[in-house]
Amino acid sequence: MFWFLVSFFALVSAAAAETSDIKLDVKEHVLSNGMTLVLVERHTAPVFYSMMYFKVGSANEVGGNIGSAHLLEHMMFKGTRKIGTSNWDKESALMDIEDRLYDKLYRLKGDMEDERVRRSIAGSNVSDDSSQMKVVLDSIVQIETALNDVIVPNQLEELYTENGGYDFNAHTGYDITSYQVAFPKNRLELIMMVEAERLRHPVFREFYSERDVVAEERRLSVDTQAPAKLFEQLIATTFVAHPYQIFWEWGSEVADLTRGEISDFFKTYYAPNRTVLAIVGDIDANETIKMAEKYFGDIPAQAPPKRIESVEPVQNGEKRVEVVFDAEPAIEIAYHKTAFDDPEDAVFNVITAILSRGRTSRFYKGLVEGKRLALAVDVSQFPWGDVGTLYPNVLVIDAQPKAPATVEQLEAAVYEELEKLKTTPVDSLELEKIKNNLVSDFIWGLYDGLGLADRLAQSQTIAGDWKYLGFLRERMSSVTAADIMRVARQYFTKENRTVAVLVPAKKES
Amino acid sequence: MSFRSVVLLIVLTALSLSGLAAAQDIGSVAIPELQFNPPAVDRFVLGNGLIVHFYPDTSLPVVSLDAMFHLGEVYVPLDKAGLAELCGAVLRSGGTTKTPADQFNEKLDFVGASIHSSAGTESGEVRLRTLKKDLDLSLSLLSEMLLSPAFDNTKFEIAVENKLEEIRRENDEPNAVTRREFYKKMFPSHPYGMPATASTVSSITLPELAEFYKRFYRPDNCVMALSGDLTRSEAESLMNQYFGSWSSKGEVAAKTPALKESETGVYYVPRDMNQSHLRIGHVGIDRKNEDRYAVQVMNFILGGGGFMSRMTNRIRVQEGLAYTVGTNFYMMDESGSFYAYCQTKSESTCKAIELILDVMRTFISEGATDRELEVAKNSILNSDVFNYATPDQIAYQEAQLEFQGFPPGQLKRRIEAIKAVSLADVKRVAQAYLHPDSMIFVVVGNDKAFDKPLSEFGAVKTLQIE
Repeated sequence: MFWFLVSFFALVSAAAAETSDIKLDVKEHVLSNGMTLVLVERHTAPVFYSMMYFKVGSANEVGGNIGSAHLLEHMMFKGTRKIGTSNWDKESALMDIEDRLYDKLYRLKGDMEDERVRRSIAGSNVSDDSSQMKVVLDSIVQIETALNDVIVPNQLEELYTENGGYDFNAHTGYDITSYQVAFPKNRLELIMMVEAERLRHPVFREFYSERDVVAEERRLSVDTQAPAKLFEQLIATTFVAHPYQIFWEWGSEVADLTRGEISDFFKTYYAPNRTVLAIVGDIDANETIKMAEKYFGDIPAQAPPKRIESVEPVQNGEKRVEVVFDAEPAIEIAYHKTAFDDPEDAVFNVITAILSRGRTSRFYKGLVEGKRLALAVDVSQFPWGDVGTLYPNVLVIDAQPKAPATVEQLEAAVYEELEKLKTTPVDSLELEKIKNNLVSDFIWGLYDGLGLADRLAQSQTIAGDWKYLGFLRERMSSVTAADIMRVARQYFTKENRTVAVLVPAKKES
Repeated sequence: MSFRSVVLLIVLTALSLSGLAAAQDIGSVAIPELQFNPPAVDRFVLGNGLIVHFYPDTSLPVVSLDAMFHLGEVYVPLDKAGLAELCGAVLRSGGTTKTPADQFNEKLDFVGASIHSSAGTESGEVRLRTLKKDLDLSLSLLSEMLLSPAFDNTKFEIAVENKLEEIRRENDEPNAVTRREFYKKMFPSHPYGMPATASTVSSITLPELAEFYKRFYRPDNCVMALSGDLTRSEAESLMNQYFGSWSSKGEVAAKTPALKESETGVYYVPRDMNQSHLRIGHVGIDRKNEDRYAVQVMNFILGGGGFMSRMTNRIRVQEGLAYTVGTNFYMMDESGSFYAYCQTKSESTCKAIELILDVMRTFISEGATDRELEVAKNSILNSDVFNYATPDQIAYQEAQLEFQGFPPGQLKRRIEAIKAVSLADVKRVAQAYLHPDSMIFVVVGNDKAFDKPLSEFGAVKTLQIE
């Protein structure tokens, strides 16, 4: 058990001196199975915010299981052997039959497709014999009707909601998957027990209908949205080897994922030794550790999974891709950059702020208000994270031209701004502004309990240490004008970039 | 000057776990009683009529200020739609008579403080967030902005261009199209329904903006919420220092036209995509409606309570037809809307609509169950403490209730009213405020792939979106 009392301001500039009395008291504790707790007592309101992070995301979907991390995130809300069922033994037996029937259904579909291809090559008539299929489908309906009699739908959500749960959600990232909940303080032990139960005996019930929900989520979030369609192609074109290349599961693969595959994925990646639980709020840290020992302590650790071996090869020339969509034009530009543990990552954070943070940023002043070419120009990193990502990621510039300006004009203007970073040192006031903002961001970051829990859990999961947040801030505050020029020259090259352009679909007249 | 303190006691009771019969050991976890006194918010009024709700909090060296104004598109002729929004934007972007826009931005950004201004259909908001050490700088800039904005012509032109570009891009987003077309049919010829268009925005002039500012951005038309690292006397003297000389001139203009009948019917917007976006509903209730809390509980059960709602359970969980589905009562000053929303693959469009209608009709005729009512009330009451989670929220909530015209003590009445909702109330308000036989259906999608023709729900009018 360790106590840490850390001031993030030791190395921050003069402006920080006035606020150096602000400290973040964090208590860290590791259970014997490797699960890590990061706790902050905050007694300003009678609530607590909890962020549970698992060190797994879609980047871990290696070997033909695309979509597993996301589908698993959905399945984690389906309950346990105790929550969500009126008869677990009966339900378990029925689910086995359901799985076998779906397996049979896939085999039949595959056989029928092979037969259809064979006949069409042979020139004979295609006449599907679907009687076997019908038998299987009818059996599925029967089994699912029987399952509906024992399933108690939404019981986990009911427990969360009725107990005053607030803002409960989950997010599948690329390196991480996170689960957030907030409750009145008197629910702490109840929630500890429920969360432990979800890790010990989760039940992936209603699996096949939830797969359809995941498919619908893709249509809603990607297929019908111009920016997401464009971004998906930008990323798929940028990366050729690294699994960051898949922005969202494409959709078709999800229909083939089985409950067995999701269970295996869960067992490997949601092990306690890959789990961080950060809680911020009106708690007693010592009591919370005791509760965690009691409820999570006996969940067995697991052997580490297969590493991600793919290393993205160096890009040797500009890549461009177009997406035709029923929408106004847009452009997105990606530059390969560093992983979290590279010291240059802090320089990219400062560059991101110089280019796009607020009304005095270079893109806003230069392209939105100055040349009046753009509605907006944003800079972000993909995958995004407060402390960076486990593997080298990309810096993305995303811009919408303002008519009559064209994408071409806007693209040229973006490069002009990037060139300035290479040729003219950033002046000291601009750097001081960024450093002042680090201080105000830090203080406002303490205001929001959920956000604080999120950043602590993220830092602990990605960097293996919640204190990395502070180290990164120190690194950022010591970035110099020379650092910015050096990094801009090295990375903002034509060879290192990928450009995606949204081309409006021609309207039918 | 008047002083009002709100003290109410909410006891968050241990929940009955009757729904968790199978989960004995979970039911066995003791839930200690939580006694919570919602914090008291101070209130004072300046000589010029400016109302300030103040909540001190010394846990962090920060200060938050939110100002609300009675203004918006409801005071603007229909052919000038967008005037309020533009005024709110240029108030902030256009600088002040003392500090030109670019300098204004530099000063704020340099210390990491922020001022936002926006205006909507029937209210405008201005928001300041600053570190305590920069409070004088931040307040003096905010005061300049509210008392003597410059409305710089170039910044005005940029704001107009940006709004025109946003309008040009509105149709890129199917949800935005669905929402816009729905409100046009619900509130025809009224600012509640009629959005800014290229022609209304192009007709707006800078003098019109300045005139709008003079009429509405005035202390007797404003309620502020102030919170953070200040004492009451500091708060009062700062507010007097920076806003005491702010004066009100002339009369606040009257609201524009009366509401007209909705144009119910089935409206189809063709768009080549693999999913349909649906919004179905009718006129709802205004925010002063005496049944508003019963309606809140009723809607929680019908479609507002996430996974606890009938809509989500039937359409998402049981049928796997949607990622988001639900219902909402959106309440405004004069009226409101009720709608069900859903996005589903083209091939299940009509099935989803049928299910939405079926859920509504069953609910109206049968009402809720004891357990549904219990879950809804526990959820709303147990999560109430999150209304007091941060100092800015505590002050904002009190200020907003006064701004909206509720008498003091509304928070306490809200809790009591929720507790008092009965099964009979739920059924009564479902019957009074849900009208599945007289609705507006807006469907954006590709009808070639629909499972059935939309005409199943009535004569279809196709809306051609440029």
